[in-house]
Amino acid sequence: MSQTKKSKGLYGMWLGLLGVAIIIGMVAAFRLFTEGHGLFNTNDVIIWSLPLGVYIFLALTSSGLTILASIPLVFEVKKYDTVAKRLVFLAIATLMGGFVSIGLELGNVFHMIYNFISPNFSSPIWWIGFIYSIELLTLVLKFWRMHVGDWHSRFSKVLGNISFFGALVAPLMIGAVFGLTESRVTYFGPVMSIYCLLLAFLSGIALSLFYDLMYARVTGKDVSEKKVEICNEFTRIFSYALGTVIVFTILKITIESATFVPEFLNYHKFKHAFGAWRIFHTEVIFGLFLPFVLMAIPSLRVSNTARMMAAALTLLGTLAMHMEILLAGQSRPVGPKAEHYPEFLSYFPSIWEWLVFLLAVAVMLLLYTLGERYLNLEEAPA
Amino acid sequence: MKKKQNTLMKNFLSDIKFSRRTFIKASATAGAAVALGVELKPELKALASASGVASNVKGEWRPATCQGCTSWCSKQVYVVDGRAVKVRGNPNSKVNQGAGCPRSHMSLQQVYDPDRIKTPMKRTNPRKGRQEDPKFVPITWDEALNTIADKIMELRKNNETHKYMLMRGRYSYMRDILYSRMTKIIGSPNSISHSALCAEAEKFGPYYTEAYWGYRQYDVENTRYLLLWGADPLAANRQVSYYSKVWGDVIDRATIAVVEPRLSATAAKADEWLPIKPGQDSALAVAISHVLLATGLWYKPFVGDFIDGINRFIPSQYVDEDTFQEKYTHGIVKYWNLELRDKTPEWAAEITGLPVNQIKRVAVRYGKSAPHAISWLGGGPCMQVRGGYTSMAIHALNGIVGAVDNIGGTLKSNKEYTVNFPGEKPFMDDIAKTGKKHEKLDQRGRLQFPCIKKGKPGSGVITNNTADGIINGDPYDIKVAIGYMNNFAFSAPQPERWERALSKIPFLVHITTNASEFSWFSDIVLPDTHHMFEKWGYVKSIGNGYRHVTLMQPIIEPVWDYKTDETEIPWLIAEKLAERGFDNLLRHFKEYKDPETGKEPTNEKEFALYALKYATQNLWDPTKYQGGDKFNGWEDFLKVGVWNSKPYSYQKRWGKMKTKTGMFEFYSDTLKAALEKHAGNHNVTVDEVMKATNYLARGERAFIPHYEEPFIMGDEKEYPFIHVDHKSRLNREGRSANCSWYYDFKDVDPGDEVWDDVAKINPVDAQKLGIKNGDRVKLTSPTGNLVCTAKLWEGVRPGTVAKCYGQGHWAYGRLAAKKFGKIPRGGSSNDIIPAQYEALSGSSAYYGVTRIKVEKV
Amino acid sequence: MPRYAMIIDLQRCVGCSACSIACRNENNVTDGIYWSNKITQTSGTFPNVRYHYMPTLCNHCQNAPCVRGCPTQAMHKLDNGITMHDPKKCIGCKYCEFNCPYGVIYFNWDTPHKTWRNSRPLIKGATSSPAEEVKKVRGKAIPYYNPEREATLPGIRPRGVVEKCTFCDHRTRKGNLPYCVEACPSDARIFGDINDPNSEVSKLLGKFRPFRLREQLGTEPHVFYIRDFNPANYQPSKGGI
Repeated sequence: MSQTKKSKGLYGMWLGLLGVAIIIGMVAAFRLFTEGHGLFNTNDVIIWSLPLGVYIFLALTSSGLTILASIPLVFEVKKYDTVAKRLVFLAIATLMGGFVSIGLELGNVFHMIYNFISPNFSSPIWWIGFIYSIELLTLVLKFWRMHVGDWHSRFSKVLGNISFFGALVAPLMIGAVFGLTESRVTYFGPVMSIYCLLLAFLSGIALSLFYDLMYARVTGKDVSEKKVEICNEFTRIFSYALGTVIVFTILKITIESATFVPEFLNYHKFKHAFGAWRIFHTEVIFGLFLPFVLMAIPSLRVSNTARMMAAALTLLGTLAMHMEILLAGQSRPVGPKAEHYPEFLSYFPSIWEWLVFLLAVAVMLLLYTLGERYLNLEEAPA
Repeated sequence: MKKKQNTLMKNFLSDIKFSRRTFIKASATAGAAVALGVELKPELKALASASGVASNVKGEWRPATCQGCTSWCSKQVYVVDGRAVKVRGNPNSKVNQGAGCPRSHMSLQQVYDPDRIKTPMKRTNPRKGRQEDPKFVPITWDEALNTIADKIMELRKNNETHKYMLMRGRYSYMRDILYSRMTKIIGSPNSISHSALCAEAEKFGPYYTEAYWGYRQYDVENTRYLLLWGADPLAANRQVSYYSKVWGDVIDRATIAVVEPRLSATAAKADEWLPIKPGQDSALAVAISHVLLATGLWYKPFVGDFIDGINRFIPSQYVDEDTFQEKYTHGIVKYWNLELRDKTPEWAAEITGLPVNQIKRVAVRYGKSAPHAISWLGGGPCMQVRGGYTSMAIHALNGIVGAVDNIGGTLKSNKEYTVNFPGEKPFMDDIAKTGKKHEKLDQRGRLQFPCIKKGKPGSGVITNNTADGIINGDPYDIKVAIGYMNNFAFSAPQPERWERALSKIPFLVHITTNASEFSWFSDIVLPDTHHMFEKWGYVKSIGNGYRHVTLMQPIIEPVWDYKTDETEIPWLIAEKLAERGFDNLLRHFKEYKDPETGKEPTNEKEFALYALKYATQNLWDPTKYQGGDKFNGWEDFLKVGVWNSKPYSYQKRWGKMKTKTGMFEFYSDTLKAALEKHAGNHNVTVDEVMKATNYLARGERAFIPHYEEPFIMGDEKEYPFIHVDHKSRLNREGRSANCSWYYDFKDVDPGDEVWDDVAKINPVDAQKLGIKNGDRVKLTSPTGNLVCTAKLWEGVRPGTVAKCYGQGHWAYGRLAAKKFGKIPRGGSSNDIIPAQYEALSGSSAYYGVTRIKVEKV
Repeated sequence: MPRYAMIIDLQRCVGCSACSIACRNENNVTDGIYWSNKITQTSGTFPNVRYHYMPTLCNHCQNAPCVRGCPTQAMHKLDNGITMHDPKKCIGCKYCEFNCPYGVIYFNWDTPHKTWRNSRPLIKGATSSPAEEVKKVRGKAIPYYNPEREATLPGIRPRGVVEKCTFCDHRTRKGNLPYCVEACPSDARIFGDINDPNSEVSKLLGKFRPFRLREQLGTEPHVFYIRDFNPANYQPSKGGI
């Protein structure tokens, strides 16, 4: 009795908190629309900042979740069926958070209509917009089908396949936004695409893991044996993902440190957004190496607390890594812009950029909360 | 908070309401849009819908004249619907030939400067001082003029008209009406021009060698060697437009060497940069002269030769004057014997801090280019305490290589045919005549201030000393003063003296476009027209072997009730004086009849126009044609906007110069006569004059160009750096500081930064001081200090600190001052420059005059 | 159809920025945005120092990364080779600005010409205010507003979209040279049709060995540079050991 009351009280507080966050975020959004992006700590050198980083992070995480969801939905690994619906829902909610962030970063949402009436097929940004729109649509449809119990009809399967395909291609396209900028050598090439895909998967699995553990902790529900097994397996996948990204990251850092191409040398001079030890940035140490170490220690690997911590660190780490990549490539003015700016620029988000972040996350969390309450996310086909 | 929200809403609404029609439409959709959380871009829509109308408006290019610097280019202004929109060079001018410059565009931001005074105003705070807000309130023209007339009448009533003073800043050739005629008819000797802040020492050298008191034009297109001394023609004065136009070709044909402690815009494109120690220019000039003579590179068809053709100019040896036969020069052997004989490159290298090789190389190549070899005298080397003889030494180089009045050399101005305004004499009553006999307030002509303009002691102005004259009431106090388009409280060295001086004047009037530092101390401020768009007038300028006379016309719809400084305002004052029983001035002004109709002017507008037609009649009236461009009449002249002289005739003045000897004087009989006359006026010897004027030369050396050790204030230990002042290519004579373009493009001055005011320090020095790029630094001289930003730059000589003039206003406008009336934006160089003089010309010393220290703040 | 190109003769250039200020004027560009700009360099150490100035503007690349990357074709090529921007279609993603190898695209972070909206006079009753001045002269946003810019673009680009040099397409279509070319006091800018072998541009490209910025990127810029800002002479020497 008191337990429910308490949890009810907590639930109300949580909703209230989210409501306040959303109201604050809406006020910030209004100011952004009326006064413009002069409120951001951006300029014509640091063009893209926290709201874009948050968008990339959330969109990629959503893709990661979709990829995870396709293990049962596309590859029909039946034992994961119980997590499928939740994963699809999380992917939708996370993507919505991302859309909030990009919407405020653009500040010109109405003109998005030209995305449809005047498309440019050679633009990765157009493809991202297109794919994620389709992705959102198919995910919602898929979720609807699942919600009404249709998991395996032809239509439902097609939806699953499309969303899986979208989740694979979208991160590659996000990477291509950077990979195609020949003006910024540090980005150029296919590396960014592959990296984005890996990070998408990593943050997806991290979020899924973190969410499940947090859910269990908050609800205090008994965890079935089946779920524990899934959790163990997800932890293993998580460790593999960390390992893969670490290998890739070390490779990337090593090459960057070894080269004498001037743009990469600038990389070293640039004051890292979050500091660094030797050639390793703080976020790589704490957001990548540390969780991997935690998950490599057998006693910790089985501890839910350690798992949660590792997942949380990874989430923060991947967001920070996206920001680092974003900022490092923009830290140096291009061409004549160097005339009016210092050799290297540093960046710290303005209060308004933080509020965009807040609004995006609050919207996402509100969706999680409501979804969990009303949509029976643990449903699985009999 | 509420207020903040209100402004927020207001901003939002003002985003939308570009036109009334779209406002309604936009606001309706905006409501919906905000609800959806999307932006509408209402401006874009509003602008797009309005575009159809505005594009049909046809503009017209109308002739004008720019006085942003003393290039005085002829311009054209694109006027749309009575509004100035664009500026370009007038293609009809043979001087600037359609070429423009960066600073001319800023005239648009000047004329539409929201901080311009739109109505006369008076101060209501009787206390005067830098810390005293004048508390200006608007008044009518009538009230302003009545007050001024009353004050002048009071002087006349008390027979102290000499206590009236007129201070002139930027002028057109309509100046004589206000500056000279009105002052004299009222009865005062005190018409004080700004000229000695500008360049008089630069005219000193040419005058006492070739009897030409004026700016030279340089025949750069035909020259083979350009040796520039502190001159930066691609950035600062003069004929920036013309020189910019041809420089790319000049570089092909000529070797360019720039003598300047700072890497100037011109030095950036030069073959040789000679970063000399400040103040040591005369050492380099005499050393180059030494080499030219010692190596036989003087130009014999101009200077002459040894009778037997054997060069006796052997270093350190005296030469017998009789062995040399001069042609068009005078005193070359005396020059050698008295000065040059031991001034070897090795000697100069040590003094100037330049390599011996470079000095020799420059000298020999300069000599080999004779006579198409220009020694270009800028303000830098001569606007110094002992710069008079430097001015001569540098200009004398032109004599040695025969570049004077020659192809590819240095030229004077061409003839033009404007006429003076009617004389004032018949209108000067006894009060006026007595009043005018008083000593002038700048103390010119006193023993220590010879000011020997054009050979006449006491004829040149010593502008900056006027402040001391006022402060000390010496020779007497000033009761009524008018200043126009001047800002001595900013533009003169050690301006704090001016603040005290102006505070002391009981009744001060300022005619100005902006409420400047000078206005701050004024009792009445009158809104002036902008020279380029709103005024009748004309100026003359030279370049490209031509002289042009270019017109200023009111070509735009006036925005507010401005009146023209040199014509309309004196007329209106004359009317008011006449009402008070003193009509001499008005009667005089009525003599300025319209040459076309013979009508006398009946109001200030007619007066301004008739005066201009009167002065320029010989140019536009075909029946009075004397030369140069020919017009069908006034309307024709107005349309073209500029008259061009005949092209230059070279070598016409060889042997016929207006010097005492008629020759180009290395030994200046002309200067000798002038100095002796001045000495005679004070019953002293020339040596005593030298001593009183802070010169080291004694005896015969006073009459020849020679090296003088520079007089630099400040102890080297306490003040380790020498201050180097320079001008910006965006300065419109210190009046562009309220234009946003000035700051947004400030980095076009090599080494400078946008939206900042920097002291350029050599990295070697900066490292010793522990100063980094961007540090705030305080520059302190023995007489003042300023705070600005440090910029480490290789383009400055170690041991010197270079700082651009132009910023540091504490008034003038919302942008010019960081906080109007209180906090300056940047630092004004004049705050650290002591009030020192080149006394022979009266010039204020700006360069090589003070040491400073640099501290981090 | 002509293919427009510009040659910048660095030897003629005196580094005065008249081009850039005139451009501001012609295109009603707000402060802080430079359609026309420069790259400067102070090279050497005292006393062997020179300062170099290289004017820059949109290169109107044949293979323009900004056009390729623009999601909505707001940034597009005209038949005459001009890289043009349509602010109506611009969603403000700034990818063009991010993508441009030449740093010539700017974003309107704030309301353009904002300072001119201030309605506070400096001296009450005796001076006007920026807003009053604009209204009184019948300007638009700025008093010296150039209405001719409106022919092909909004006279002033609004907040939230990018902008850049258009080779003064509103002038070239009427047979006038870009305003920077006209305003250059030293005739350092030569403009014309690179497809016409008899144009001044083609002649000069044949006479000199031109270079372009970051040519290795393959963007095919159509702003060419010839000669050197400082073609200084020096005494021949073989150096020494």
